[in-house]
Amino acid sequence: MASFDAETADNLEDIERQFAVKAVQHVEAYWNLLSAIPGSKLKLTPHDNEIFETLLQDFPEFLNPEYVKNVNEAEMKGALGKERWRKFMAKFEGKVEDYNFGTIMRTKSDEEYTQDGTIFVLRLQFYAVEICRNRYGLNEWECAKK
Amino acid sequence: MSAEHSHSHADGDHSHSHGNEIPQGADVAVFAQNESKARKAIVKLGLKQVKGISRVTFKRKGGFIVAIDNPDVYRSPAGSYVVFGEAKVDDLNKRFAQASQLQAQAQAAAAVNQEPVDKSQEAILADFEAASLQDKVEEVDSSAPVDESGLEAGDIEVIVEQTGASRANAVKALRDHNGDMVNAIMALTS
Repeated sequence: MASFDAETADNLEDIERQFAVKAVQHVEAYWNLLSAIPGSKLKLTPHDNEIFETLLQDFPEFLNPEYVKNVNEAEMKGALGKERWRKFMAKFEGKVEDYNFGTIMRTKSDEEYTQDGTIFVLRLQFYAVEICRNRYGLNEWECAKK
Repeated sequence: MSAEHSHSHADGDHSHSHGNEIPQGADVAVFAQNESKARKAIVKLGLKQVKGISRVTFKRKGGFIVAIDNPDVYRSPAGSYVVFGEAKVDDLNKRFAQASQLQAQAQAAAAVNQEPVDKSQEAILADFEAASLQDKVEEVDSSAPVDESGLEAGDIEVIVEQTGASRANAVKALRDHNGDMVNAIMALTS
């Protein structure tokens, strides 16, 4: 069976590559949106309000814009964070498209997508954080540049 | 069968360790040992080998299939299967595209055979004209009033602006993706 791992590794690589293409397309599409439309006017899904309100209920720390500005990956992905996010995610299963797809997110809202400044999260986590940033006006600067 | 199998593994491993002068024999022994262990365990589980299987395919979401040619297949009394072999990813969508392309070529060839005179320039121009007319008809269709109920006009406009797609296509993309803006844009730009 040892050989089986090696065999599947090839296939996984292929699937990973396809996934990476999708993830980057998602980054580009979102960034183009932010460049064209001020974040505060941007709508991402039909459930933005619900995502935002549930987020503030489940994660009161997101009431503080400073917290949203700079996402703490360790806290988000630690044992406690994982469990809290899992419960949060479950509320949107089947409601938000691709809610558990892997997605690239900026850790700091005042930076563009950079190699070190991005982390890998689930789609709904991306929405929750970015909707929050948009509503707090933390994403206006990219659009204002033009 | 078993000898052939371990041989193919040895080949596969050899290609991985290219450059390194590791004696091939060592790896072969490891694989053979592991594999024979697995096979012994399988016999203990009461699995029976199924002969005469030439290909096993797994269908994944989105038309991708993982295929194993000439697999060793074992069946458990409960009806589950164990499959040994080299898996390859196969893109069904691509195959369909190729198949339909071949079909179109065959049809075109048949048409040419039936009317060999039609190779003239006029006929080709007429073909082009017919094709462009078809395009125009489609355009009219897409500019006809589209059902936008349940969608927000602002969302549709954003999609149109971002992608340059027609309003009808923007509406369709939004519907296909349950109003998810980024996914709708991705669908229209990739």
